Amino acid sequence: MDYLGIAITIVEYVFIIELILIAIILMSTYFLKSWSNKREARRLKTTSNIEKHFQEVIDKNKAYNDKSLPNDWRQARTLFPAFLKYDSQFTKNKTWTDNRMNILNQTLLPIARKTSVSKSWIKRFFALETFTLAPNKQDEAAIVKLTKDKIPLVFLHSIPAAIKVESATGINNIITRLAKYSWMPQLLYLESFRNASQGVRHIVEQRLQIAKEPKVRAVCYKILAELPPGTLKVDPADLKSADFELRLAALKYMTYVEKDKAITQLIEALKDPHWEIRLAAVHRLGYLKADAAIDAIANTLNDPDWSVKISAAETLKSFGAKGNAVLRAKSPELADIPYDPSKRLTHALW
Amino acid sequence: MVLKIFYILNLLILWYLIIFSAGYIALLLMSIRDVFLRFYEVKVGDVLALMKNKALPPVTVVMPVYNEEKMIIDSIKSILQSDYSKVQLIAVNDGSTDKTLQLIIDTFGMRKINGFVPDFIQNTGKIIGYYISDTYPNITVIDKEHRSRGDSLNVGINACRTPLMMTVDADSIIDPSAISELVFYMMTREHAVAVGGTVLVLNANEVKDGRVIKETFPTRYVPGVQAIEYLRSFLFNRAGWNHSSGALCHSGTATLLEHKALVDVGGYDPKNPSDDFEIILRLHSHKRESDIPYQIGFSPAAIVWTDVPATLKEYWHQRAMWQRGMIQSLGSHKYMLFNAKYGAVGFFNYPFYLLCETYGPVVEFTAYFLVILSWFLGIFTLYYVLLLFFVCLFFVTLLSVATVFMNIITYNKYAGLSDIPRVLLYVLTEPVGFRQYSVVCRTWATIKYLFTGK
Repeated sequence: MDYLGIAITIVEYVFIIELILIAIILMSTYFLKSWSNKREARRLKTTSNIEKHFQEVIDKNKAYNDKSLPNDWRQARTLFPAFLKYDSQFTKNKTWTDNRMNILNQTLLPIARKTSVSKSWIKRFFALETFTLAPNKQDEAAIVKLTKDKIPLVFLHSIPAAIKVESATGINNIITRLAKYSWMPQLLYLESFRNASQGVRHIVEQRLQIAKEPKVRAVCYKILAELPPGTLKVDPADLKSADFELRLAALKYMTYVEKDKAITQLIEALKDPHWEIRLAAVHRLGYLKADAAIDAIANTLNDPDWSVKISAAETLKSFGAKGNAVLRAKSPELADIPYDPSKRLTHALW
Repeated sequence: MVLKIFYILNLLILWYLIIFSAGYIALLLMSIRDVFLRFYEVKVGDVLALMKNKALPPVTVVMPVYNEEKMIIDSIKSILQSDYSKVQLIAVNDGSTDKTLQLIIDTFGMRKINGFVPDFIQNTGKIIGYYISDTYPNITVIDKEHRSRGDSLNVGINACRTPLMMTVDADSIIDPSAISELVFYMMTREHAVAVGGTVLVLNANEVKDGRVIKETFPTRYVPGVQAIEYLRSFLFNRAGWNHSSGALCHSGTATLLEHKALVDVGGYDPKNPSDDFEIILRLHSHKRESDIPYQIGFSPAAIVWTDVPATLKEYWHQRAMWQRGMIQSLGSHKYMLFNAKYGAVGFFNYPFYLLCETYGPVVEFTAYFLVILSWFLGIFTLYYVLLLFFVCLFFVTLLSVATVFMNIITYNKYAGLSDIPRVLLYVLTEPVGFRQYSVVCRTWATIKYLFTGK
């Protein structure tokens, strides 16, 4: 068998394919870039026309009519930003406030309902933005589906939508999914729950009552700590959980709800085997300005973990002259840490 | 007998070429999808507005500094102008012998205090001075005895008080949105512990007060071909690995890491010239051994500009150092190779980096001789030799063209009318001459390291 001949034939074919691919890529670059530029220009022009249309509604003080909108303007990516721009600029304009729900209900929502199941994640994203602006129980099923979306941005924007319609299924999906995240990325998603309604609180509290998984319970506490303080007390068993994230979340929630009444528990937490809990306890005691805890905090200056030691030093400094005196007596070198209360950064999220 | 040996060697090299070319094509296809997805994610999602959220964690930029009086002020200013609101900067002066430290002190009004730096990472260089500024309260300068870049980074880890830490070189300018883009990536992944950004060539750009005010493709040949190399390395290589368990290497001048993860693995290796490569390897290793879920990713939208060697001699020195670093790093983690405990990293990432990225130049160097000798011995015809050469040349060109295509369609760097002809020229000429120079450099460095340990 002529292996060299076969090799030459294969290599010849590969050479030709390479040349063809290079030519295709070069031509594609040129045409795709031109097409992309034209598309972007068209999109900007359409957005500008939509804005003029909205401006006309405002200037002539007339009622918005969906039928007056040309079909080629009905793209979420052009309509929604224009709507948002006017919504932020004309919040006090009566004509706009009278017409905004008409625009949402007549134009944007029908588009959103169609595109919420689109293969394009960009269309699903804008659908969620619309559902958030015009919450409607009718759209709950679509929102619930999007709480399981693989694209992070879409998932992120499904949270305010689920909160607005107070979807129990949607919020429970979100809790289950967030339980798989580590604490830092959770911050971005939990922020959406800030000051959510009583209905949302009720859903989260119900989940907390039935959930057994520590990470799920921890997320529930974290969400509740974003809502205005309620009446639900922390489960004492969670403060002793084997899972440190649950212990930590429960401790933070307890401090949030009970404030000064949590000081005893916080002092107890200074002896926790996990450094992040000791760190949180030091930080929270400082936040509560718990003078009674100064000596207990001073004992953590010998903590094996540097983050805890530094936080203890900074916390003692925040107590003023008394704290500084205790710090200097117990640990002069830590007293030299440059300290500015506005710059308290040590894992300062705790 | 000799002919038979030549024949077998040539066959082995051909198979090597086929397997790793297929690997590169797979990486390219995955990278195209990833780059476009990340591009539209940032464009549509208004990431910069999202990253102004007060709930997000603060970031400390640690900048190891050694004799960088030319660029240091612009580099620091670029960080101070970041869109991300919660940024601290710790510049660690590694015993510079020029005016670097004094320049920083004078420009930013630094004053010396009795600062304290804990030792999360032990045995770091002796700290000589600790400086803060009343005018720029988010800058700290730590002056230490000269040791190494890795040692400076460890001092930075010790001084860092935020959950996130970014490493940036002192000859780099970061885009204002770079930190926001990196944080966005970290915050939208379940367990990200590190994310790298894109590094582009600064050499011909106009920089004023820490901002790149005009982006220009390098006019000189050596930085120009490196600009193409960097595009390939980031937009194609690292982006491609995003779909797998993540690249094994992210540039030390554009990587955001979880501070705790760095402390857990014991910080950087101060004796490794490619400490940025080694730390990522160690993170992979540690997380897999501890069975902790993690992600190490790449955000093409986070752009950092850096100066590259402008002459062939400087290029040789840098690449030889990197080659030594890669061999040393992979050598210290050789237990990962085909080890089931390390999953995809052990079975794909590590072997690929070992056989292709690290020892690939040695194989290529050997192939040049082998093929030419085979022609002299009459095993191959001249036609086949030339055909093989052009196939390899055009394969590299294909990868470069595809990467340039991705760049122009998405981030649009070097897309000016005066840039495009130069880009095309360097894409076509890089595989003829410059590539061979790079291969010789890396082969020489490999042989020297394997035989002398230096």
